[in-house]
Formats: sequence, C-alpha cells, structure tokens
Amino acid sequence: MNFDLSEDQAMLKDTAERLFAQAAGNPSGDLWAKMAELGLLAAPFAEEHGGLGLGPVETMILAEAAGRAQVLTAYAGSIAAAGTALRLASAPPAALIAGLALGEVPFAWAHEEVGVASDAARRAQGRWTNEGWVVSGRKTNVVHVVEGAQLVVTVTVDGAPVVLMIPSDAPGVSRRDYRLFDGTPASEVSFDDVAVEISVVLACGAEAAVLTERVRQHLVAFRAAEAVGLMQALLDATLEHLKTRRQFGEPLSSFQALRHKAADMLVALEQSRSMAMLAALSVEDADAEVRRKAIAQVRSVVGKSCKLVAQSAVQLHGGIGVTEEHPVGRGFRQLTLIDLEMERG
Amino acid sequence: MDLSFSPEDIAFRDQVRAFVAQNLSPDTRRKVEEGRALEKADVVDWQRTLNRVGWATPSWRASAGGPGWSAVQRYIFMDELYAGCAPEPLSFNVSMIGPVLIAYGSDEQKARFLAATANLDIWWAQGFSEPGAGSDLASLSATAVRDGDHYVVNGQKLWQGMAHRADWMFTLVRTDPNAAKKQGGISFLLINLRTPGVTIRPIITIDGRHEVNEVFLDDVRVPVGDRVGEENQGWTYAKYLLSNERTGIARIGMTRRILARVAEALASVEAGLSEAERARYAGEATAIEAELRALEITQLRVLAAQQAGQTDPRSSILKIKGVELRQAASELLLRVVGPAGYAFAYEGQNEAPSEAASNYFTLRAASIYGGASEVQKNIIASSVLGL
Repeated sequence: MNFDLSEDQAMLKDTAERLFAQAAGNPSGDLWAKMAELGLLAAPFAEEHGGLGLGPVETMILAEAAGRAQVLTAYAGSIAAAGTALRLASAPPAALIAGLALGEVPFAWAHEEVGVASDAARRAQGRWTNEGWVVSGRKTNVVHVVEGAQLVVTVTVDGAPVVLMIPSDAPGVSRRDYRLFDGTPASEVSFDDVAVEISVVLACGAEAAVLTERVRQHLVAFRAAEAVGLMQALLDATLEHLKTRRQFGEPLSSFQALRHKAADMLVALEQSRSMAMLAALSVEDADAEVRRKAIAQVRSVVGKSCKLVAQSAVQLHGGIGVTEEHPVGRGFRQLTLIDLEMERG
Repeated sequence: MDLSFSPEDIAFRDQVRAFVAQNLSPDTRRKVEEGRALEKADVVDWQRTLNRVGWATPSWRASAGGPGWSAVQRYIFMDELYAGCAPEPLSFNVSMIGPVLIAYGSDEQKARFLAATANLDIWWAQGFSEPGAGSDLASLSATAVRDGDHYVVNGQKLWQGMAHRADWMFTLVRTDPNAAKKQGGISFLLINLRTPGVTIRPIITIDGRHEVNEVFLDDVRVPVGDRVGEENQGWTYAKYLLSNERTGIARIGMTRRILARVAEALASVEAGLSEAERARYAGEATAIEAELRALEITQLRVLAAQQAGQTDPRSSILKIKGVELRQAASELLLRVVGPAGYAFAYEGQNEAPSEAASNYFTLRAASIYGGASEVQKNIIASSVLGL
C-alpha cells in the first residue's frame, strides 16, 4: 500500500501544473500543441505506437492538474475516450495512434445520442454494402471537434454494437457547433449515409460492447480526477474569500456556520480524492466486475461531492459567486456538468 | 501508487482471520452480528483470548507489552475483528488509559496497571464529562483538594460508559481553581470506584439499554500516587487521550456489518416491501457502500501518513464521515426491516426479534461522543483549513 507519487510522477505533476497555470492566464495560446510538445498526449499509449507507456495514475495527475487550473482541454474526449478506443482495440491502428500522440491527428469521441440511455443500444445505424460501410444517425455533445478530426463513433449494425472511425470531413457528415454550459466547444454531428471503408472498424459485437464500456470507464476516471482538481480550486478560493471578506466588522471566517460549510467541503473533496485514486487503480484491472463496481462507486461519490462543493463555494462567496467573470462561477458550471456526467455514466 | 497490501500484510490478515474464526465463541459472534448488547463476560473472555496471544492492545508499542504493530497492521487487525463479528478490545482500557499510562504514568503505575489493563483484570471507566462540561470539557468543576498524601475529590461526572462494570475510573479534576487559564488547573486522577463516597447511578438511554451512568464523588479520598503526571498538567494528558480516541474511528467494518443486515433484510420476504421500495432501498444501500469504500481509502491515506510519522488532523474526517455512514446505514436498516423491528427489548427483558431500532437509537449518540461532529468541524476549520 502506497499513496506517494513516484519521482517521475511528481515531475509530471509539476510540469502539468505549470503548463495549465500558464494556459489559464492565456486562453488564446495553443495549449494542445504545447501538450503535444511536452509529450503529454503520448502518455497512455504503448511505446511501440509512439507513446510513453504510462498508466492511469499519470492520467489522473494530468486531469487533476487541468481541473485545478480550470482549463478546458480536449484531453478527456480525445485521449481518455477516443484514445482508449484506439489503444484497446484488438488491432490498434498504430499510425493513427502515433498521429494522435504527436498532436497531428485530432480525435473526438462520438457516443451520446438524444433520447438514448448512455449504456443502451445506439440509434445510429451502420450497414454493410458492396463498397463498404454506410453510417446514418446523429450524435450529440461531441466535444472538441476540430478541422480534420477523426471521430470514434458507436453505431448499431443488425442489432449488434460496432465501434468505428469516421473522418469529420467525410461526405455526408455535417455539424452544428455550440458550447456546453461549462464553455466546452461541442457539436451535434449528423451522418447521412456516410460511406466508410472496412479498415475503420475498431470492434464489432461483444468486443465493441466491452470496448465502449471501457472507454466510458476511462472517461469517468479522467473526469473524476478533473473534478478533484476543480473542487480543490473552489475550496482554495473559498478559504481565501472567507479570510479576506469582512462583514459585521469581522472576517467571514469567524462565523461558525460558514466554517462548518467549509469543513463539509473538505470532507467531500477528500472522499472524492480517494475515489479518483480508486478509479485510476481499478480502471485497468483485469477483472471486469472489479472495474464495473469500482467505477459505479466512483460515480456515486464524486457526483455528490461535485454538487456539494460547487454549491457551497457559490453560497459562501455570496453575490460574486454567481457572476460570469468569477472563477468560482465558472467552476460551479464545470462541476455541475461533471456531476451530471457521473449520474449518467 | 498502490492500494494492495504487501504479501506480509496479507499473511498477517489471514492469520488474524483464522484466529477469530477458531477462537470467538459462537454466542458472542451471533450477538455482534445481530447488533445485540454484550454481557460483561463476553467482553472479558474475548479480551483475554486476544491477550493470550498478545493482541489485546493493538496500539501499544512492544516495549509496553503491546504487539508493536504498524498502523497498517492495526487497521487490518481491526478490520478482521469487524468482519469476523468479534468485539473490539475494550476501548477505555486499550485506546484511552493504556496509552496515557505508557506515555505519562510513573514506573509504579505502569507496573501496577498496564498488564491488568491489557488482560481486563481491571475494567476502566472514563470520568471526563460533567453536567456543565461537555464539548467544553475544560470548564469542568469537579474539585480535588490536597489533604496530606491524599486528594479529597468532590463533583459529579456524567456519561460514564459501562461504569457499572468498571473497577477504576480515570478522571479530570480541578486542582487549581485560580489558574489563569481554565485548562491550567486540571489534574488527571485514577480513582478506584470501590472507594467510599463513590456513587454510580444508571442512565437508561433511548436504545433501552443501560450503558452509561452518572458518577457522584463525595469526599472521595484518592492517594496522591494515583495522580498521572504532574499536578495541574492534566489537560495535556487528556488532549493526548482524546487524540488517540479519535484516531482510526471510522469503524468502516461496523457499517459494513449493518449493510450486510440490510442486504439480508432486503432479500427476505418478511420485510413486506414492494418492488419499487426494494429498488429504492437497494439504491440507498449502494450509495452508502460507495461512500464507505471512499472512506476506507481515505482512512488508508491517513494511516499511510501516520506510518510516515505525520500526525494528520484529517482524522477528524474519519470521525465525521464514519459516524454519518453508520447512522445512515442503521436508519436504512430500521426502514427495511419494517414492522418486525417495532418490538423492543427494554432493559432486562428478553431479546427482541430485531435489534434494528435499538441500533438506530444507540447510534444517535455516535455523533455526540468522542468529539461531536460540530467539534470535529471546528478542528478541521482551524487545523486543516487554517480559518
């Protein structure tokens, strides 16, 4: 049993925290390119595919650092979700993984559909023709789709699940772009008889079901760690506010009702920190039942903590906490989205 | 980063598990499993069984007659006791007075008390709270006035758990009423409860049980040699005792045992639940179980910090959350058991069919004793959050 970071992990944490702090101060800079340059995009991929061969603990460190700085990155959808689908496919597409790891080929994860439970059969359909696959359907809230991106798409073919890749600029693919309430760029992506080659299939049938579940588990693990960083940021800001803001001639920190709320925030944060660790240490477990149970527990605890910490942070900040410009107001929206994701899974 | 135990720790766990399975009496096991009250003999027998192999005092270092375990081994040991439905070693003896005597007792006191405390030849009661001194313990008003080789003690103590079974009481008394700070004039005395002037009166609590008492001290003569440490330094020793009392009291295994009873009740037909109710209760149980898993990891993180020699004020989190989950589980059990749980065993009566109600009532006190949850939050606010 050991909860310490190794020397390399501590260095990674340092690097990531410095990078994300800079990015938070300069939102127009190209964070993705800098992450690629530092090798962060290559972290979870096998060395034979141009990756660094690092594990879920390193991903947790990156996610927490991103949350702490409140930066929006494509890492969750691109590396933790789509990247996992590539990495865990029975025949991993080596060239594409290398491109993703270098930051040259952007990827997005296209799974959610309006009106479909996140673990139910996809309404998007694929069919096999003499020329190849033809896909039709609509995906919602596909995040960080950029020009030239590859989409990892979940579809149903003759009642069985299939995971395949479709270039976002393929004929028949159309997008409606918008932003989620946490600021993340997102798209509704429609596929209108899109023709793709057989080589784009990552998994079929039972394999596709397992692959999709594993992607969603990795996404939960990433977002849980991101939530821990966000909760820490909001708690820190709240403590600072309680110490400096004065009312009735005293600092807010002298009022016990507020001190107790802050203590509740810490309890919720530490419970979630434990769960982010559990997620990282379970998400690659060989036993599917162990993974499933751990991730379900992570979702339950982290979702509730997100809500408690976010709501308390806004309440303890008073009016300033509900403004668009204040980091706590933005953090509230980021944590609210993660809470909802944890509930849906 | 790694959540798994070392092979040595796993071997140790298996050894403890086998010992509990082989040595715990089936009757005691059943009582603990069903949440029933234990007789004095049940507790004494088990403590002595553990003591025969040197395991009755998990937190004592080897030079003081303890097993000298690491924090992780202590955790594994307690976890196995809970899982095997065994009683905890008596906390008044093992977690409270023992460590104080080891740290601050005279050689004479150590020789006289430590072995007898470990073997439960002496049953200790805690004489801290008073009618006017609860969370604000330092405002206590029991007095001890020096008279030759003795102190003459007068006052009233409250909430003495199991004092009616006890032989001795460790207590805080005011020896200097004129001290500048109220914490300054307090001394730590050991009082033989058979001394003339000691009266113990039972208090029956809402669980229908007699566990706590009030203790009246009227001109009780206590030899000066039964004072621990220096006169007027008792607050230091009391704080040390309370910090030990609060360490590692998440009691995760106890909550897990209640959840096992919830699962059993959900599966039985007696509860008379509709499918919708069953699903809702099962969902609540799953949510508590998830929080419990998180707390277990939080506890291991605190242990790892302690192992590395850091004291961690975050142990207040363990107390707050541990109690919250135990209370939530006991409330859920009461709801799931349904009408079968309404019958109640009043003190001295036969066993009720279910102890769900009694357990729920008992556990309301858990967020009050050992540092109320509100006091723990004050500790977190000042010691961890720097407010």
